[in-house]
Amino acid sequence: MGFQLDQYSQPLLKAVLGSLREGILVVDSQLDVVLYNKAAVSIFNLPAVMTGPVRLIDVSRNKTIHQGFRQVLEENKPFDAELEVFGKQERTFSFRATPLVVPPSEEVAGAIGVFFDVTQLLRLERVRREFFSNLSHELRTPLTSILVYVETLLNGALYDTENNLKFLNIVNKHATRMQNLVRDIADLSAIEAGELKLNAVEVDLRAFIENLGVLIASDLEECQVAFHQDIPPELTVYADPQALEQILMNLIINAVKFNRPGGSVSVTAKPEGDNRTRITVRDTGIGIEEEHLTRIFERLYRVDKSRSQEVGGTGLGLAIVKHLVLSHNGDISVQSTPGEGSEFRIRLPRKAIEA
Amino acid sequence: MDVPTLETDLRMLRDKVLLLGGQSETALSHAARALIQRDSTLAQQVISDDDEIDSVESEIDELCAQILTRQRNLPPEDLRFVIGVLRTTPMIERIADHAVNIARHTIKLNDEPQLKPFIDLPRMAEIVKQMLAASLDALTQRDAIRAKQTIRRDTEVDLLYRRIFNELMAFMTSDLAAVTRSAELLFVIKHLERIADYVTNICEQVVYLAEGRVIKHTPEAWLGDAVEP
Repeated sequence: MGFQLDQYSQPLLKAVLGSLREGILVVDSQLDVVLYNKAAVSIFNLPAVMTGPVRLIDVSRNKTIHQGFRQVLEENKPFDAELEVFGKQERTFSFRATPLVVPPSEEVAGAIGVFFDVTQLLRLERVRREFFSNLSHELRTPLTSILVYVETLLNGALYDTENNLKFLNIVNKHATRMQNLVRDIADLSAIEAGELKLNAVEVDLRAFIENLGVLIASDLEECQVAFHQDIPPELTVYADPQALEQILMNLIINAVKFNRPGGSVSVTAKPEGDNRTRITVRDTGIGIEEEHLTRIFERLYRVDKSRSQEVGGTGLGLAIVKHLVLSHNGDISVQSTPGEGSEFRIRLPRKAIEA
Repeated sequence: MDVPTLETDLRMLRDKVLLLGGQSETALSHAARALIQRDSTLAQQVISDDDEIDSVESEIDELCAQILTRQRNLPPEDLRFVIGVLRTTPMIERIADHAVNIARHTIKLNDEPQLKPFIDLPRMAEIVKQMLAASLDALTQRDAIRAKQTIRRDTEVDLLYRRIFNELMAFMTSDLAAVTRSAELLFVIKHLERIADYVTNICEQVVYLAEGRVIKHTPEAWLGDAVEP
């Protein structure tokens, strides 16, 4: 290319390009790559140290890249596109190519391509879109049923003594489902916004779980699932009791409802490290396929839509659990074998740290 | 207008072949993703993108013909390159056709519930994708060693093909409701296996370009070649 950098500008340019997160490729009018930065090396087939011009086709076989650079050279105007780069990991980039004009000449000497990795952004966008689409579905389904039954009642079924109570019960069930969903969304928003006030105290875990066991007795009976617990005496968890109940109830109820008749749910705990308590909720249920494991903590993500409808969850339980655990400076993990069962592990502080 | 020189012609030819390769790579990657993620929209895109691939193939043929007519006394190495391109281009185009066929079967498969979670199939597709990328890299650099390494991977594909084939046959014999879906999947793995065969042929052409020898009919002559790990 017909320009030279002086002794001062060259290292400066190299340092600036090297510090960019975006990959930069500069091509001349013959589509030879004459300059690139470190970020570009991690995206394309390029030697770490540049020894001379490299043909663009040897850098990438991507059609959009070639099309973009050609268009810039021929039409002297910018080109924007989204493109996928296949390699060990498939990544998506926002690609912008602009003409390179080096004064005093007014001719297009080449083109500059900037590659910005948008893989993560697109993933988050997909999660957001799915969330809203699921949310409208989750709200619409019970609302439609409510409207249908209320209309039927208004059209005379109110006086049909054989069915009116049955219809009202259905309306009640769906309204409760909507109420739970709205409550869970409000909870989740509050936790995420940091508005939730946690009043952590040292909770005696054994007594706490025993109490939960009483609360779930009817669910256990309905699903024909046995409940076991093995908590060492005097083991504590330093947590907000209301939040702890929400965490454990969510995990235990899931373990009961996604179980099989005659199966079991066990809750065990043990001290770990200096100041941690590990609680494990294990079930003998249907398990979770590996592909879903990383996504089950997402809001409204359903592994099996029909099964979830059947057991009546809001689809927000695990997202709430995860956020509550994190706001206690704890962590949560899951292991599962399809057909055999799942195991959720949470680690929470054991005692208050003395100031 | 400037009269194209042999150098610019050959450079353009090389660019076009590798771009065609890139388009086939995209077709295969998209077809595999559409199949595994059950994405019929993406599968449809693979089918519609194929027209452009076909027209690039024709452009390459035309360019080769022009070079051969214009340059009566091509240097041997360049002649070998043009012959190599004429042989390789239809293979690359056929790979894209197989990707289109996978996309067509995917659309049919997506009309029905998934037969079972795929385990070996994504692995097979991944190996074939890697082989195709490696063969095109080898073609770019005229790298005979890389080409021979890639040919050796064909046995992995054959092994997975056998395994999935047997599994699908077992499905078909044990469950009548699974017959149609299993049959569609049998076609899919056959297409993947064929793509791997074409990749092998491309690699043989790379060896021809780099070393000037034909290894297609004499595997024993090169199997003992030193290969970098």
